[in-house]
Amino acid sequence: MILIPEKYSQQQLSELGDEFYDLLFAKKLTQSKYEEILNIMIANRVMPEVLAGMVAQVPREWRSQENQFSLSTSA
Amino acid sequence: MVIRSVNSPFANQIESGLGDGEVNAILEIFNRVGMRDWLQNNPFQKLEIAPRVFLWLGQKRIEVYGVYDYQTNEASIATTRDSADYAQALIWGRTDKLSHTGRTSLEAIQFTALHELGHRIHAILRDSNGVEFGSTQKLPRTNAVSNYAKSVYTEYFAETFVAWVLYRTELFVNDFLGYGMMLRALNALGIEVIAYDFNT
Repeated sequence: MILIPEKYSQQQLSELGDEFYDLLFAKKLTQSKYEEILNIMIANRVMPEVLAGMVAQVPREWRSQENQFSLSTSA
Repeated sequence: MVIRSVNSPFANQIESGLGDGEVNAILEIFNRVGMRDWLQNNPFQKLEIAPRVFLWLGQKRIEVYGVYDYQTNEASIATTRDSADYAQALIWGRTDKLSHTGRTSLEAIQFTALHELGHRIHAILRDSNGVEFGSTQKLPRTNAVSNYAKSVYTEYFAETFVAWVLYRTELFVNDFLGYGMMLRALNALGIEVIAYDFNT
């Protein structure tokens, strides 16, 4: 079970988002890193567009790992 | 709804269930701000214009008004707008998204189209030699125009581009770093964007 810290600051979330795109553009993003970052973003209720913007960049097979994500809000 | 391909100078492929007139009314924004020629030379690979846009995480879905894929150069734009998500006054740094400042639903959709164009420009900059506006250029986003802009640097670029088009003077006053970033970016690509005139 992965424990996700309850509350990240806006600054931390921004840095995490930036890290996602850095890895993506450097072609170094792994599925596990993507899932780790996305889970934190979801748990901290970032804007849906920000989430979607990230999800849109990854291979479709990464998106279909249901039960990997704890998306339970209206996002 | 029948999905059709629509001929357009702005994308190699446009898919929409809307009529040509409706699609053209939305994309007229690109003509209006002087981006037609640039987009003809640097088109979206695909533009999807649909009543609603979802991204799926397993069986969960995320609904958005617009999204851009840097890997494929494809963008999607939704045409259904909640009445709470347009006709908002701009409150610098507190407005959620600049598209919400569209005075009508159509204008909000057009402003989302501008946002996706901002991503397209950012992608071109990233790919061009000698100009780095991606991973190595992370400006402080403290004075960014919207909450969306503060989230990640890709959204900062796209929202700041929209601010350049819609609220250039306010951008200069409130986020000089963002103003400078956009000035350098557009100069690097030789793009002259006509400021949006809210009076016409």
